[in-house]
Amino acid sequence: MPEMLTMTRLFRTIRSDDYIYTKKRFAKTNLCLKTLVINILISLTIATSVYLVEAYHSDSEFDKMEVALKGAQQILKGSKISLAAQGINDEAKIALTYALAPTVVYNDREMDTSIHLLNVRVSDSEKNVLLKNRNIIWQSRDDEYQYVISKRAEK
Amino acid sequence: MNKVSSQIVWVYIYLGLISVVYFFSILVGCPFVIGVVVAAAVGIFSYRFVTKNAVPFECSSRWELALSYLIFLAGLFVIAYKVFYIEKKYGDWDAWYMWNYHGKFLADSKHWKGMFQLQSYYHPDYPLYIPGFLAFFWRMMGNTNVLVGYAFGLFTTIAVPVLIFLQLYRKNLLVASIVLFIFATDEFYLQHAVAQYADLPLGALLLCALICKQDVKEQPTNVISIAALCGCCMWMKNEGLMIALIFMAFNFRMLFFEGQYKKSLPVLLLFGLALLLLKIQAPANDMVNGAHEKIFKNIFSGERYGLIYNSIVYNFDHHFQACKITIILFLVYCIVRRRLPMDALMMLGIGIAYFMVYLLLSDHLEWQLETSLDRIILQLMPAGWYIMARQLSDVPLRLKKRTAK
Repeated sequence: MPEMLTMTRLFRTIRSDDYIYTKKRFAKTNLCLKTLVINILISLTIATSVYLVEAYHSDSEFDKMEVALKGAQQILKGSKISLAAQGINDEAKIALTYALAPTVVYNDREMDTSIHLLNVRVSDSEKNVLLKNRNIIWQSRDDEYQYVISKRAEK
Repeated sequence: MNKVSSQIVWVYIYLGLISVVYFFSILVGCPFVIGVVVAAAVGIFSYRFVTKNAVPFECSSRWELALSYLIFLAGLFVIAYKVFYIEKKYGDWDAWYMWNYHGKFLADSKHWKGMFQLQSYYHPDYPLYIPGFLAFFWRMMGNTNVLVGYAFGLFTTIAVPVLIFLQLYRKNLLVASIVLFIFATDEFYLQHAVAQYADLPLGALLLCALICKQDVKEQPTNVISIAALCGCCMWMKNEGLMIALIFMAFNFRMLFFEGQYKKSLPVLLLFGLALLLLKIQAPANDMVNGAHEKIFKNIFSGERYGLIYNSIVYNFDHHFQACKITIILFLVYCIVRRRLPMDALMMLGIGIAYFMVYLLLSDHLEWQLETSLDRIILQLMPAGWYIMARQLSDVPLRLKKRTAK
């Protein structure tokens, strides 16, 4: 019994020392930039900016192509195709190449399968001339471009 | 190192580890779930390890604390405000051509090797730090949402000035605040930071390594973090390998002597192995191809020296004016003190290495200087600012004396 008491006293002493130590430490560390506050501020800044970029900058060439080529991505996945895009600006070509990944799109090589990126004003007769001897696999259009995936016709 | 700095360091190390784990998992074709479990376990372990020795930096008075909070908040606000007007959701050229584009290949475990068949201007040989973790998160999300890359770019934009501020505000609040606002108001820095290029993350890794190095005597386990950050540099960009090697050469004793190699080498080998396996499969780098033939021709070309020198001067005059003035101040300070820090010598070494790369290996020197030298200087900016600001913090200023009372 006396032994128990001693142990309890000892335990109390250790606890109280520990408490004082913690309190002192707390009193000291109170005067520093708090980790939680800094983290919340950084996270809020990033979250707000991500929200704003999604809300105000979601009408780029890339976004349009991602939507327009959704069906093509499934058909072409993993294949190698060539790109035919005469008179089309570079950013549109890059956006198309980006949207079709992981399909490898070659700008300067002729492949069996190709994608034609045409201006929306190109008429059907002009399109038929461009796609002579080719079988159309898939096509789509948006307010700016027509997209035609075709395969070389077997002789 | 304080807690927030250690958490930022952990984020960079963890993203590198995720990238490597994911790369190995698609290489051996193991199910994605296993990769997720391993990545989660690595995350928990590495977080506890990297942040366990962090200590809070205490302010001497409540006024100083309030002022620190105010300056920090103002810095964050300026960054957020300015970024809103220049942000690009899909980033810029490098993001479309390389990092996010390669990430889309890696996100498809069946067809990812198609990446190696891309034309040379897509740089299919480039390391996969960013594409790797992007692909990992994209697969977890089930789509290729570009906002992941955007958030990472923004994180780096904020992390660099915040790291420098948090490391220095206790030592000299004035210098820390000046550096924070130089970054926050530098549009050239902000534009490149949110462009989702890999240059600034590479610079941030070097900065993190220097911060970890500062406490290595009190916390010897930091050697592992430093080795991981060097590994991340190698896994970030081709030139990251050069930066990591120079960093290791200047800190050889700390990283490998007195049994420290037992801690650093396994981590370095992990990243080295990933890089080796990538390089075996990828086509050769167009810059290094046929290097031995052009080196002798280029080394004696006086015109090339002139072009590089003029381009460096032009960039410092137009994009890094504050940095230029600070370098002059720093050099004057070093001359007065008759002491040049080893880290500054290391930065000089990295600068000379880049000079030699341009001089000896560049095929279209004028074009390459025009398109990449500004970004190379940007890579060195975070660590450079930290080294200079740390030294200049020792200058006794009136404000510091007042707050110390």
